[in-house]
Amino acid sequence: MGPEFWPTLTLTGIVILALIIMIGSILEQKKGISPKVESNEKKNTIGAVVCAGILLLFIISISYIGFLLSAFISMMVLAYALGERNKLLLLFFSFIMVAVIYLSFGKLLFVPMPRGVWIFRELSYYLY
Amino acid sequence: MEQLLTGFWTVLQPVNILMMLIGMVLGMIIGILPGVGGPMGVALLIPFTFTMEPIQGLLIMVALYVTSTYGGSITSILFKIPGEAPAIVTTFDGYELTKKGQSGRALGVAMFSSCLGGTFSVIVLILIAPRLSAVALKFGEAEYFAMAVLGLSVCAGIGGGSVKKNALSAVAGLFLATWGIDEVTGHPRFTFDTSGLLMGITFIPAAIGLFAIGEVIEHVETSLKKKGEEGYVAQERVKIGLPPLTDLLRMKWLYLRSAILGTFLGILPGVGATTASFFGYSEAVRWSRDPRKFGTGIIDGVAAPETANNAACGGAMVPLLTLGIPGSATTAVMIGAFVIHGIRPGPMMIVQQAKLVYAIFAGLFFSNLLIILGGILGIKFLVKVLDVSYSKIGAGILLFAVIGSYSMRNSMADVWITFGFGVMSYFMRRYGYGLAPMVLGMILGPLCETSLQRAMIIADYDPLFLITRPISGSLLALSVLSFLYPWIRRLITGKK
Repeated sequence: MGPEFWPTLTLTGIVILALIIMIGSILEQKKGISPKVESNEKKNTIGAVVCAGILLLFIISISYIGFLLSAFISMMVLAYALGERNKLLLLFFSFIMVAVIYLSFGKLLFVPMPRGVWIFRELSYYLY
Repeated sequence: MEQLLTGFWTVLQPVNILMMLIGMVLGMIIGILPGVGGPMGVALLIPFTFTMEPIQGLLIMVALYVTSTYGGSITSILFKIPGEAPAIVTTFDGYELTKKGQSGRALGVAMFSSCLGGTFSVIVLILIAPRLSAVALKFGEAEYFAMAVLGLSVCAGIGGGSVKKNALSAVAGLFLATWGIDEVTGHPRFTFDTSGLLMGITFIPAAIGLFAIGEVIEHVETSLKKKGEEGYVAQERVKIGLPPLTDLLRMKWLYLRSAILGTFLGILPGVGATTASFFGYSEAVRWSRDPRKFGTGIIDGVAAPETANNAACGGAMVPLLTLGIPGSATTAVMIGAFVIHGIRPGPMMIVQQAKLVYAIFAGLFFSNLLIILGGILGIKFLVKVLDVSYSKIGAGILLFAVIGSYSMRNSMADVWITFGFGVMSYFMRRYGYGLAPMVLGMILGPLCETSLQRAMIIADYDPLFLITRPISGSLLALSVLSFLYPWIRRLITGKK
């Protein structure tokens, strides 16, 4: 029983269970039972994708423009995308969030937050 | 007994009281906010507790864990919006009471019942945990393997939704846990030649992704209201008080039944507070003199599920503290927190870390009392968090998810793990695959694998070794039964 035993076992399990679920739903479809009951609630799939997309850009940008700036911009964009339209409130909210992160993680817990590259790196040394 | 007193003494230190108060406020807020659950709260809190003393970090989590279950029922009663899944049942009668103008009475009973149920389960925990640990100390590798298998089999069988899909979640969790260096042989697996995956998929970032990011994305998709519809209309001034003694005496059997039932269900791995609250309610209906009154707004309909769900919270700590096997999604994330603080949950814990374990006992006890304190002093203010629109809450959660998972090892690789798990959990929620089974799989995976490997080395690769030992054999038989239970039940009821 080497290191490959357990992964092989679990992968086999995944394949078998996936096959069972697949066959099950194919049989259900043949019987004419609709597999999903659509709810009356309107789904905001675009909103979900946008939200995930902003998060993705946020994570990518951390390595380039540093954590704090990236978080500040992302928070504004995210809150806007999620429905907040008051511009002053957006600015205020993002500032507060970044300040909380800066003080708690940066100053209290000494987390070396990513500084980004180039000028952003230089600038970040003034803060932490 | 002496250790227990030491535990109480530890918790009563000013710093620790402060930690528990913070945990209580956070727990109530998390409970009140719909779409922000206990597992998410604990997962996001772990990075903050990283640099604290283990006792303080764990006490915050304990307080948050206990009070969030009560917090969920506040909005159930006031607005018919369960803040947490275990509070769904409370809406049945709780909201009806609010419509009758008796919200204060309902909140008071919910508060008292939660405290009572929780305290009962903590007492049970204190009485049986040391004895169970003593038994568990005799466990060999085969027994550990069997125990882990039992935990997995139960969680796949219950946890709501399709059994097959939950089983797949659990097995996928087991598989994901194998990434990184193999503990027994030291061989790297599925690292894809990147250093970020050498340590495997770190559990906390994965849990943050599963519970925080997936939850926000799903919330955005299903319930983002148009502008102007955000927030909830404020209720009349909420007054809350302890329920009159006559009510309590009248419902004494109901309390006892719900408390016992809830504690027992909580102890079973995989059965959480949600199931317990449903059982508590249905049993109250069954034993009631006029069951038709349930659902029209009676106090009993609030007391029963509230007692049961908080009792289940304490019950779920039994397998966690004695065997290192989580009983629910929140306790599974808590295991991650234990590991971060350098504590390996299991039967040795109560021996090696007696001070800590007894402090947790005391912490659980006080947390249940804090429910009353928070309930009386806090509800008025805490309900105000519902006025904060989800645009800010959601954005804030995502920010804390990112910095939280980064800060665990100061590694961007962990942030990517969080993101990946977040996206995956969105699809899992959408297509009905349980998250709790996956988390349990990831927690129990290493235990399962290493104990099996070691047991096989001891037994010279004879698989019968697992079955012929009395304890492991019967545990494995029990696992098979519990795994097949849903199908057996369907066969029996189908034939009728």
